[in-house]
Amino acid sequence: MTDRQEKILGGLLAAAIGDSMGAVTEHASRRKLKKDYGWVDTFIEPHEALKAKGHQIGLVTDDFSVAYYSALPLIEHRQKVDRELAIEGLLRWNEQPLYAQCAGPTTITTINRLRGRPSPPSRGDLLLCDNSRVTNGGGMKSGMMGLFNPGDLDAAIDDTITLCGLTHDNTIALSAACAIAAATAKAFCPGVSYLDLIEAGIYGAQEGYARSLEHFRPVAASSISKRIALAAEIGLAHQDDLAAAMEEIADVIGCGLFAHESIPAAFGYIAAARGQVMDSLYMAINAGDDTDTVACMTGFITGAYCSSRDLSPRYLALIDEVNHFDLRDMALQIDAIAGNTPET
Amino acid sequence: MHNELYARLHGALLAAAAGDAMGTVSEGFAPEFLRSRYGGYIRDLLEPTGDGLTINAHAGMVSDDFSVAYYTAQVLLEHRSRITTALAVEGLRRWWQHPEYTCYCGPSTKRGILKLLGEADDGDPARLSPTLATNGGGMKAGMMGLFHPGDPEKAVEDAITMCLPTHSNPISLSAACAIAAAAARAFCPNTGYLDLISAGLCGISQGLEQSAGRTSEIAGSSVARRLELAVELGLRYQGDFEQALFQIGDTVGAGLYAYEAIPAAFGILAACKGRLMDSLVMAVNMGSDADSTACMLGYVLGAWNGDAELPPHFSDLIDSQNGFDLKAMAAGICAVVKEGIC
Repeated sequence: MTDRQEKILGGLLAAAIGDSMGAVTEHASRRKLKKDYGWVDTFIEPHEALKAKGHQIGLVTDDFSVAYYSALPLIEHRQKVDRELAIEGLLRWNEQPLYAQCAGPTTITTINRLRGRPSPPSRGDLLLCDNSRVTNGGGMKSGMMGLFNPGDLDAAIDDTITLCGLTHDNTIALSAACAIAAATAKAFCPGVSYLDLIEAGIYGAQEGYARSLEHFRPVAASSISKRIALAAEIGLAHQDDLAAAMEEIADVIGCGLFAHESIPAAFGYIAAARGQVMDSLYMAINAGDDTDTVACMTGFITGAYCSSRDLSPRYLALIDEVNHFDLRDMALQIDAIAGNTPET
Repeated sequence: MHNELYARLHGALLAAAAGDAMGTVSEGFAPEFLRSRYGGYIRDLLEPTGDGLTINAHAGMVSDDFSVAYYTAQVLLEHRSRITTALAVEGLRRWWQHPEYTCYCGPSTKRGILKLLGEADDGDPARLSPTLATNGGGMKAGMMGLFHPGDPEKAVEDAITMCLPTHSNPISLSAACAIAAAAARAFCPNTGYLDLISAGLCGISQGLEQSAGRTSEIAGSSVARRLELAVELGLRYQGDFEQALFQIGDTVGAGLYAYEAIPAAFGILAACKGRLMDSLVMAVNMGSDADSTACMLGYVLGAWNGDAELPPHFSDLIDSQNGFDLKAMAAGICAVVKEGIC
């Protein structure tokens, strides 16, 4: 495999590992995780509630799977994303009952609309209206747009707005999704450092906000770019102690369902772990709350940055086998479609 | 002393109600949008535009925030008693009879009430906010500061009793205690605005201690750490109203979660050095969960400033639109406090 192919595979595999390892720790508080597990740095046996949903070691959840299924139509049609292909990917993903059962509120509403089904009216939904849609589900699939546009931040941002605008049609969720896509694309640039990834994330957040303002609803929520900067500042200040960095980021930034929590948190982990792929995933997995999503998003970026050479071949075999994926083949296909990586 | 206590109590009730009513028009919107819609800052009790979360509301009408505290206080005054779990539940039940306010009901309160009434939850609000670390404790807990003027510790105890039926997690409870403690502290002589902030921080740690063992740990940010961050931003941008508003809104956020709206309230308090109307205006124009943020600030800063700081037409408009008598309520609280009942 070429360097670029290895990097694409790294992004895919780390995102899948993060999602799957994080599935077990999702929703718990970081204190409870520390008490129950110490520090999770490997695949652990799922708890009973998760087993009941059909989870097993190595299985990905809605996070990586929606990205995977979003990539399939692009690969089959050998072209970049457009609205029709985005819809095709989403509907195909929704046909997989194992993944569809964990779809978030924003995604469910959109799928119902696309299929012409009414969404059940809910007072809670109305009350939480705008805020509830500032969720992180754009970020979990937008990393894929970084892999399809290696080195081209602006194309990754535009493709993300096309892909994610379908389900996350507001400025702040899209700003967050674009941060992940831009940082993933940046990971392919020659001579890139982990600090460049953070800078690219801030650029993606600002550009994603500005570009989506033309077509999507402005909503009330805090600023993705400012919170990425704050998370990175915390991460940089605690590089010598990853657990301390993680606690500080969880306390101040948060790592929940909302885009303005989990996307900035991902950049905090990248800063603290100096872009090292497994360390950044472990932080996301042990921080509690929406761990699988944060780890998945972080994995797209740091996996591409470090390349698959930094990831265990055993993990590739496990993920492929349990999920019936062929991530190496997917990496080669994405590489064949993606344009030339810009020189700078 | 009687007159001063009364003026502070009436100020707190009126400012909490006014913050809630002013913020009802801006709730759920982004600050940039509010600026362009109103061509400047909202500084008055405005008629709702009908496209937000308001339903059949008019200028001066409060929402769920102040109303749930009002009906709980009414129950306490009738029973002439310090709060108990039974009275907290009675307050919730009485409030639930008012659809004009309960139509705004948030996810945790709704879940709590449906459970108390033995009705099934539709499950949806829980899915939207899986952690339920929401701010609805703070919006009513400020009232417990008024029932314990000058005694933050008792205010914290009562805030926990009041909020446990609906917000039984350490994050929401500790945030509620921050508001209750700061409101109680505002009645102490020689209290500066920075003392209100330290009272809030003390309230959080006492709230965490007292909720340990009675509630289970949930995932979510630290209210104390966020509050410190908000105050740091507020202090840094003192004197620059617009910067303070946007920096706190962008970095801390003023949303439905307890670790957003409550820290933001203290950041605003710091930025405005405790001035009442400035603080309410900043909270209202920050959008997001504006009415809750402004309501919570109202308890604390209305008590700290007294009732002379608000525009004169607020009192009549709020009383008449809601069928309240806030002066009578202030006198009632004054009486139970003086008799040492609470």
